[in-house]
Amino acid sequence: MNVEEARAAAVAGEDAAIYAYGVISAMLGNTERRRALLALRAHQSWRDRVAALLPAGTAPTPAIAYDFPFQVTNDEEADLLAQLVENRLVVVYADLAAAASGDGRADAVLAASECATRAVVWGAPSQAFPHGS
Amino acid sequence: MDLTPPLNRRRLLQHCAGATLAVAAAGTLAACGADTSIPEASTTNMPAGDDLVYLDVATSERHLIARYTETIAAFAQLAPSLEPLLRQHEEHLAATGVQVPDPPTQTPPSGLRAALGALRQAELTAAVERRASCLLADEPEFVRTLTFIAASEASHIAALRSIGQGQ
Repeated sequence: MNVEEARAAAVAGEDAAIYAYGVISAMLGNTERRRALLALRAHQSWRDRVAALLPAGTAPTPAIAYDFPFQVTNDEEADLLAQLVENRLVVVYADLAAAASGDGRADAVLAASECATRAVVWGAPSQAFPHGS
Repeated sequence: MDLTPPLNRRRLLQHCAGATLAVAAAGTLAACGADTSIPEASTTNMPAGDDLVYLDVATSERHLIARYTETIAAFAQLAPSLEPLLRQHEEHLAATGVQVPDPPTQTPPSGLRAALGALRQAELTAAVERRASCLLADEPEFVRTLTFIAASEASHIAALRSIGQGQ
């Protein structure tokens, strides 16, 4: 995977995360919804930051909707989806870190660390090599 | 200080990457819209500069293992919460394939909350150091592994905060 492919994958992953957090935030009470909206904003920020590094017009466009691997109908399922989304993005950003260099790599490592941290805050157990399973 | 042969180090990395690949492949990836599979570690020769990074990471992980072990010995009630994090550091150390000596013994702070705070500080230091390691490393698969380790150690800070709130 070259760096542009890795950046495109990160943008696509962030688009999916942004969509997911829209669903997640709708399922939560006030305190957790606030946390979900902060996460949503963080993902929007990373999406824009990575997309800006792609050649003009090549950033993936978000899908109209995304399938989740399970139904999200209550707050517990919303928490699980948030954990899954965050841990899967760690893998996406690890790929980007491996493909990038300099500031791009530093950003990817920081994004991966933020995602792994949010996964644990949402209740996921920490992992030696975080990934969404 | 003993550096194991590069072949052994690569085999450990491949073992680690292969285990995560099996798990990642088991699920669909629709939620992220991205391929999150974990490829096998490279079998190309490691650049010489990476050897120093491996050694640095191994030393840091050995240090963290010692701090967790000492804290668990001093506060047995924390063992169920801290042992999973300790095991993760042992996995990080194994991924380097480098053997380093134990650091000097330290006595953890006498209070439970202070001891957890000391571990949080150690994890924060390690997470920052691993980010720096990522910039020093050359071999892409090693950078990838280091990114996972940096992310894991950052997440440990949140986990330790949660453990502290439960005490």
